[in-house]
Amino acid sequence: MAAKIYFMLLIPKYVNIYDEYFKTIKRYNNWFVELRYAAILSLVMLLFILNILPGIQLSFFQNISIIIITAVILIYNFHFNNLIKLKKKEDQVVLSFMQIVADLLSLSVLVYLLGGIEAPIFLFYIFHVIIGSIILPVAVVYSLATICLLAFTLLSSLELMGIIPHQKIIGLFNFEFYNNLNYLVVFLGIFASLIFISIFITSKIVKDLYEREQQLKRVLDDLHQAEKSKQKYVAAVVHELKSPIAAASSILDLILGDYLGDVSEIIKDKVVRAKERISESIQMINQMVRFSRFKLLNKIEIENVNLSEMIRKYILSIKPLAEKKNISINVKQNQEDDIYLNCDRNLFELVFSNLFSNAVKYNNQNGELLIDLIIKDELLTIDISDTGIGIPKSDKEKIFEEYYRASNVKQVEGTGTGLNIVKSIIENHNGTINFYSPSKINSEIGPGTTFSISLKQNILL
Amino acid sequence: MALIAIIDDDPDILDASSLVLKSKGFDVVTATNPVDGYQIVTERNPNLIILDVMMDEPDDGFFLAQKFRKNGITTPILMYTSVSKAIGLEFGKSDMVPVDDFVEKPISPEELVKKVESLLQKK
Repeated sequence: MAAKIYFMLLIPKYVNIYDEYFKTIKRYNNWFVELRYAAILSLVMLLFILNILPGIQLSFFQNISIIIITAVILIYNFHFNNLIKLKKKEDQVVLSFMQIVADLLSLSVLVYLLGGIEAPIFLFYIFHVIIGSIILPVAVVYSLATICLLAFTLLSSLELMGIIPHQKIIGLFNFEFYNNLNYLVVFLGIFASLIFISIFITSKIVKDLYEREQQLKRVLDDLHQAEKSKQKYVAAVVHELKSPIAAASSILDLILGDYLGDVSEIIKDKVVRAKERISESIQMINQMVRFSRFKLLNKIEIENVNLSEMIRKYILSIKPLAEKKNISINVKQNQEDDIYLNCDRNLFELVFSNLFSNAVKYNNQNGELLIDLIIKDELLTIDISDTGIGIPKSDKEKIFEEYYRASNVKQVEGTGTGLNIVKSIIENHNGTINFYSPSKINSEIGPGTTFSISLKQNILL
Repeated sequence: MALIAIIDDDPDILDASSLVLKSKGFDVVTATNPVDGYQIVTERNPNLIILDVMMDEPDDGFFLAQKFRKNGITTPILMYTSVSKAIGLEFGKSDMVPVDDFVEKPISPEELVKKVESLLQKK
């Protein structure tokens, strides 16, 4: 219980999303350990430089003590490195506090060894309080800084009074000022203000940043919420749109299935036609919803898909329409086994249903549709070629734009959304889609178009 | 012969499904809302329940299916849905969605009969 209260004292008051805060603390703890290795290396280098610089001289006591304190830092750093693995959140907060305290102690010893108030290394106190201000409550950092300053003042005073020996770096300064009371008072005064101002500014910036982050997080949560309601709304609208159509289709099925008694062939033909038109609109609704979901979430779900099988399935679905125009459909692939692709199944169904139905819709009587799958070095190329009306050169730039329809398609129904959808899906799979007209199977029947899709077989996103 | 309860708020779907199933010799009872649906199932104890996923409210069908299971009614459930394919959801049998199979609307008579027969056989 007591431990729990102590630990709560180490968390800044403005923190309200604890999980995020603890993750940050853990990240900082990691970072401190890495920084400390760099500090140890710098200490070794400092010792080396002080010993080779002409004129500067360290005593044996200074040298050996600095080596010992470096070793101590190295040892406790190993220890901290192990403690980072602790799972409990409280432990991470206490660990960050322990790290700061240990570093302040080591730094104080180093400051004493390198000349006390004359040691340039005291500047590192500022760096420590800035780090402290980032993660600890401001009151804790102020207390730590005050303790440090008091210890530093005590040390300097004891040196001034000659109670403990001054550790001088011979050759750094030409005169001594550790024994000058005026200097001591002015220096400590300015140093204290510097430290407290650093804490004040840093903790304010950190708090502001944290609050800004929380604000962003809240906005993001709101967005997610809105997104969810939108999804629900879309599902409801689709239901509303589809229900009457589906019911009509079911009624037509009753007629076609002779559930209502025999019907003449002429009537049946018309009912079949009505059903075809109805399923077109159902397909369109399904596609629009699926694509709006993809655009909304901007997310694709990758799975290993048997592409050859999917293509066979979609060919089956366009066959009735193709047979009416006497269009022959051929599939070629340069390997015997089925071809697999890591992709979003639903979105690729959208790609094929669009491209195949275009290839039939815009094809000419007695035409051809060729689907050519080529795998080379894990790169998959899917060429979909037809012998249709082709795409005029002047439309080349605009054909993938939303709602654009080529200038020569007046007599064929369409919305101009298909190719735009196809292109965004392929690009979301890090692939490319191009087309050329006349197609690679152009003949006297028609110039046709080839759409060529290139994808890495094992897309990693 | 097996008794099938169909619960759907669309009278034309009820009509069409009943006609198809009756022609195959099944007995059919129908309801147009979740409350009546629950009642006919408890009173008539059908061999199979056909349930529309959305009635007055989205998810009505899911809640009703959960209510059946919670109250110990283990009759197989075939769920009608209009959006599963459209929004790319692959429904599966789970605690959340305690149904045995799905049919996407519009329902073809052949598919309906096939699924009904296979669910009844499983039982």
